[in-house]
Amino acid sequence: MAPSLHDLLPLIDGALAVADRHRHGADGDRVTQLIGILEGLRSQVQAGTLQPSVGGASLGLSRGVADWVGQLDSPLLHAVAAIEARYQQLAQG
Amino acid sequence: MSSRSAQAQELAPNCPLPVAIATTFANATCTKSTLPAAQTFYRYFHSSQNRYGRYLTTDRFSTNVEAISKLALHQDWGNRAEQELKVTLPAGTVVYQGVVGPQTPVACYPGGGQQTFIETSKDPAIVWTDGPRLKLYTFQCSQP
Repeated sequence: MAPSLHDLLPLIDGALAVADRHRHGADGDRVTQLIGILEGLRSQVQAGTLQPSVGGASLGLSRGVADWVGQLDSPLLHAVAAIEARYQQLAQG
Repeated sequence: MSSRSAQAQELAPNCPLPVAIATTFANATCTKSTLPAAQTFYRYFHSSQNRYGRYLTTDRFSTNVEAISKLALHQDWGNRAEQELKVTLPAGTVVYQGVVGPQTPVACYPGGGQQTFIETSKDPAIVWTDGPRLKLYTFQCSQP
């Protein structure tokens, strides 16, 4: 099967699971916001409305999380980074 | 070279940060340096939730829409960039500098502004001082 943006779905679900485990931590409000963003992204992917990456464009997930996450080796950052990496790999040529 | 390996090479970071952060810079490129003296940077925020953070800039903006566009402040995160914050970093702070990378949709978040990343925003020696409010315009991003 040819790669497509649907490849992002398991990674988004993985990030949602990680975020859910951090929901009641120190940055609970921000994690809740991230969950909303991930759920919106999931809907876009399922609806086929997410634009492919152009010119190395990211989804802004890593940028958003890295701004406030406690530790830079946080599982949250790793989880969203995996989505970003796959998204950019799937970019148009 | 196949297009896929060429693309992978294009994305290979040239920035001594974890890949997740390196790729927030345009072309995954940044320069690491240590400030020889205290230096002032800027941040654009609108609420206590986004006042403090690791991403700074040397650019100054007079309008919110310019800050949002050039700094790629994706509005899903809710930072409307209504006020400037002066951030004075002490001598000895390690900074990573480059260009803001674009975010989808690129027409709305092209980036291109100066981007400075610091490893921690919780250093008590950092001085955060409110700056002026920006001229506010409605930020319209018609693409999903």
